Amino acid sequence: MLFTDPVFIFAFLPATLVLYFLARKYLGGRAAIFFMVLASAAFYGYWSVKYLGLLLAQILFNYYFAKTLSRTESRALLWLGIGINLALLGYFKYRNFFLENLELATGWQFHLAALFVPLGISFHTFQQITYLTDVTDGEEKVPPLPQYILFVMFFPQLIAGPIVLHREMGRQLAAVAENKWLDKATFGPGFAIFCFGLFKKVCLADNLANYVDAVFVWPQPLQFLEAWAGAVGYALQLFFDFSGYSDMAVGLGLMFGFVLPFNFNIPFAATSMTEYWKRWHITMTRFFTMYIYSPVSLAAHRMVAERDIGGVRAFLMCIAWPTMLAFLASGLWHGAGWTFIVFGLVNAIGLVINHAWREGKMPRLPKFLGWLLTALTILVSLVYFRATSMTQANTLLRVMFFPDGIALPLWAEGLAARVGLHVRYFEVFQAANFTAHFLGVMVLLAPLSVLLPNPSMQPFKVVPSFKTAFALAVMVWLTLGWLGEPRTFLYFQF
Amino acid sequence: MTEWQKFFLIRFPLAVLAVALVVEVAASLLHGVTLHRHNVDDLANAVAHDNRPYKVVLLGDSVTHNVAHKYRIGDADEVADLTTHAFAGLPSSMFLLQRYLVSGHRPQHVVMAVSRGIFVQPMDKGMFAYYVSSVFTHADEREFLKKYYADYVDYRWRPAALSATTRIGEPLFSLLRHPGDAIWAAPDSPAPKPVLEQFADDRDENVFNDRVKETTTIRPEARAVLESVCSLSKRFGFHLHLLWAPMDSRLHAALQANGNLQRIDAQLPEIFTECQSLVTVNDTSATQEYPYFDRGLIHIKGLGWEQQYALQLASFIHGFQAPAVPAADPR
Repeated sequence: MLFTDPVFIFAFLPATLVLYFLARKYLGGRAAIFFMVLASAAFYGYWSVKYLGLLLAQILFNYYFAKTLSRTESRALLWLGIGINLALLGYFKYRNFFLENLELATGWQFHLAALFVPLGISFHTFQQITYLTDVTDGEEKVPPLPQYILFVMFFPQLIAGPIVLHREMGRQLAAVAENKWLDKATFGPGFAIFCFGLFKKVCLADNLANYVDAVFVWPQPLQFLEAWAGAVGYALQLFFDFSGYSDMAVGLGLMFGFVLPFNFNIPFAATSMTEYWKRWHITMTRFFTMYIYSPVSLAAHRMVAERDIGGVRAFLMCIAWPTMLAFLASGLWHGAGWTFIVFGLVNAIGLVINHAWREGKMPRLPKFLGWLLTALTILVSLVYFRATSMTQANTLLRVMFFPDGIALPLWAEGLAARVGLHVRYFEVFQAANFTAHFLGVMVLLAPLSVLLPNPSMQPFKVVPSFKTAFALAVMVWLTLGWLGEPRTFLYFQF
Repeated sequence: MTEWQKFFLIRFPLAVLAVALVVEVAASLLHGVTLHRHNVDDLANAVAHDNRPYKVVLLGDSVTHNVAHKYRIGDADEVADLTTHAFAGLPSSMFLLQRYLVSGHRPQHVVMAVSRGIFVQPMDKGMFAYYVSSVFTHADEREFLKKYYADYVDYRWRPAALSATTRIGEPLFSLLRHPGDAIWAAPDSPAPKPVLEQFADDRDENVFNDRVKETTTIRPEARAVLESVCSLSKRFGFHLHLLWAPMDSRLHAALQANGNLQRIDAQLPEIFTECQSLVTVNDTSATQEYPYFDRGLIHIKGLGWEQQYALQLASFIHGFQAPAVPAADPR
């Protein structure tokens, strides 16, 4: 079920809210948690009952494994647990990628069956890996089973995050079990944030989708202007789509009385790569920082201190290498393909240069230049992220950065003559109407991407004023009017 | 009552109602504005206002529209270009022609220059309202659409706030745009001998294979449109010339080899029974090869090749403009 599905908005969500609060009030917190487990299972099972079984099996395995880990605190057992989780993820998501590359390397032939990736497997696998690690480190205790199941399966964050740590949800779940209520009103802000996220997804992101798809379907014979419009358009589409989804998840969490971490903080306003990654998909960055970058960097720091290594070598060991490793993992996490690995690599290189610049005490760049360099790096990485093959991405980037001349479409012959440009055949901008719409939407959304605040960051600052009521009313009407076409969230494939 | 309770019980419902009311009032004020969102709107308005006595009406999909919109077909004021595209489809062609005829025009010939795909493929439901049902709103047009395009239209009442784009945005946009009341006529004729470009072959084999396997059964709604055009030809006494628009030469050969072209053509006599003597069917690709198309193998690629098609169209039109009976031998 998608958050934009009318079945979810008008049936599942209201029914679940009413029954959850009735259960809390009349049957107690434990019954409410049990009900939410059932509701979350129904939410996931609506998509596939078969894979609901797989998800439950994975949850039960991790729960009982965590119990053992909490007793033994064994690092070897922890690695075994992580390994089993990654093997499951690898089997469902990466086996074809692995076998394809093995075929290329060895010439052996494998039978590659079509891959079917269980919804949200990357998210809940990583969530559970963090839990196993935290239990082994003695930072988290093992809760009662229903609370653990709900920690993983809580439907607002089940299929596309935010990636929640047990320390964030554990105490909240325990409080519900003890029938303690939060001292703040959460439903109202949650409703407002959910509506805002829905508006971003339905009215902003989806408006760009058709245009961007047209560019990425056939990038081969594109012209300079089309390639740039497609790349920038996709960056905007992805931002409004995924940040809209994250807002909806945070809003839904609040409607049920749970505070989930926010995922975006106006990332396209970042003036450096480090700042960008502190603002984009924040819970994922946190995961890779905590569980890959920091341990590797810490080990490297120790080695550097022990062996008295300094200068460039120390930088490479303590910063460059852990960054590369974290972003290689991040790239692979996003998808099983070389395009995703290069996406990670481009970001890693950008970050390493950013760190090196700072470590080398180079002069601070003017803000605009910093913003421009960051935006270009992100844009290049997102072309790889969206492209269906390396050839497609490389072709598009070649047209963007090394064009074979800049021309205007045939229909703009008059303008071309005035500004001294040639006219050429444009595959995507064939029609003036389509081009005007595409560019119009971009002109509207580009400033919004850096000006629209993110209410998920400070949900309790959403005030129940008439101003909020009117803003929400406009968004709700617009969204309901545009809700007709079913579309998927871009981040569901990860 | 807490502030949030006040919000949900008073402020938010009031705001929702107020916004709905404001939009409803604005929509009713804008109701009746002549829409000028796109070429089909412009044509729907122009066919009733343009008084030039065109001898020929050109209907067609985007393959023909791309050409006729750029290059004048025939002599000045000879051809009324009512071409549209697949999103507007056959019903828009029929309605435009009908409006044109009903407003008093009497063309001698109507050329329908389209791809065969428009007869066998379903129309895009998402675009239907934008290009067809919101443009053609006369009672008879609505009846026709309700009868033959029932899956495409939804005439139920909706609050204007749910259709703010179509009820507010588009009329406002239309007020800002004044394309005039005349049927668009491209000012320039095609070059008499256009330079025919050579492009690298970037055909997508998957697209090609899909096209080769396309269905060949003319859809019932397309049949209904063609029968209506046929009735119009009888009623208003014009000759109807169905002209298959250019097709990628390799695709044309493949479709001819597998018999798909013939299968579609074979269904036409039955449809045109009523007006058989007034109808001719011709194929542009039978006499002229068109080797370069866009990636979807739909539109002609290259200005030279487009001009070639424009010349072919003009020659076709001049052909049937010649007297049907040879002049008497002076000897």
